[in-house]
Amino acid sequence: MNPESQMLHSGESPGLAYFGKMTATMSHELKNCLAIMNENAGLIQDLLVMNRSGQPLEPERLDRITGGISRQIQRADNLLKQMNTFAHSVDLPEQQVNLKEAVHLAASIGARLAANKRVEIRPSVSDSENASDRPVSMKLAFFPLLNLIWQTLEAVMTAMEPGTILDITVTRNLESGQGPACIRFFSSDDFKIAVEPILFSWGVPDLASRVSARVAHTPEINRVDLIFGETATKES
Amino acid sequence: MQILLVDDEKELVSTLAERLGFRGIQADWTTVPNEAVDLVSRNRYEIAVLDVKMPGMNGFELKQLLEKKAPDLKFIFMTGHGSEACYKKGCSETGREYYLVKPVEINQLIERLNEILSDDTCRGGKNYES
Repeated sequence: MNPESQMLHSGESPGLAYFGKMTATMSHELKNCLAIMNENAGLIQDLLVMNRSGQPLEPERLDRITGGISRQIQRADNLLKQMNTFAHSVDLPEQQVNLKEAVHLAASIGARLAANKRVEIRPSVSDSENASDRPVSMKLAFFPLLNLIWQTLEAVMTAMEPGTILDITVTRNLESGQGPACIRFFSSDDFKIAVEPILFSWGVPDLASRVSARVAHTPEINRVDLIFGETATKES
Repeated sequence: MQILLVDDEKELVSTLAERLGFRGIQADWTTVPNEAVDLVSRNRYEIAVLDVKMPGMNGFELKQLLEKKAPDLKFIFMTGHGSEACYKKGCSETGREYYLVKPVEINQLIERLNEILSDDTCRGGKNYES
């Protein structure tokens, strides 16, 4: 279901459509964790039944199976942490947000949907002007920001050939860490179709205006920028 | 009974295949839909158990490809999604009883496998213990 048709089923609220889509994909991932733990627990039961019938039980085998269960618990825990952060993104009208963390969160919670498009995402959040651990913080509405990042990401992926790579960087032009900030989506591979009509039909410029940002598209180099804080920005 | 399991979660599909093996059901598995097409071309399976959501190709698309290679092949869908649209699509492809939501109990899966093969059972086939 594309964002347009999804909106029709969610009272024409793009935010609600995004919230539903992400919740569905995260619950799908959690189901997979549970399914793997279910099979591993069942395998232990099977091995115990066979052991009662005289078949030796190898401790190393049990180690591997329980290790698998632990990995899935960790995976599910990470998913739930992301889900919790996502759910709380609607708590405040505005809050201090690190754009790098927002990109990471938006890309992580939509990772399975991205995998379905067979585009590899490389959220390389550092660049020559920003140390990788330096936050790029702004006071913004967090949930609309996540929605904007995801819709842009999905629009760009839709325009890309399967098997290609999409890089995402977060930059702020001035070394002082002030001034406009930019989330950049770009690929060294040519897009298969024009991305601009997708961005417009999915309402990305409108979403950008809700967080005082704008969309800049440079088709010659397969690049889409989200530019924040050009005007009345509340700096960190 | 010889079946094919296709799911992009390797640990899930390999463990399920091993457990089915303990119960006398030979289950080959793959995490790659295109590999499933190759396996069906080279082997004779009675049933394919397909995950609905997989990167690159969903289970419904894969079913169409597999049917071209093996018109007699029967299908069961496994999904973690459970959305209304997915449920309806899955039911229309295989029937409600063959659309299973993860986590799936192995006994329930074996019951479904036996049901699908019940026509063959009437002709002297074998039922597997769940």
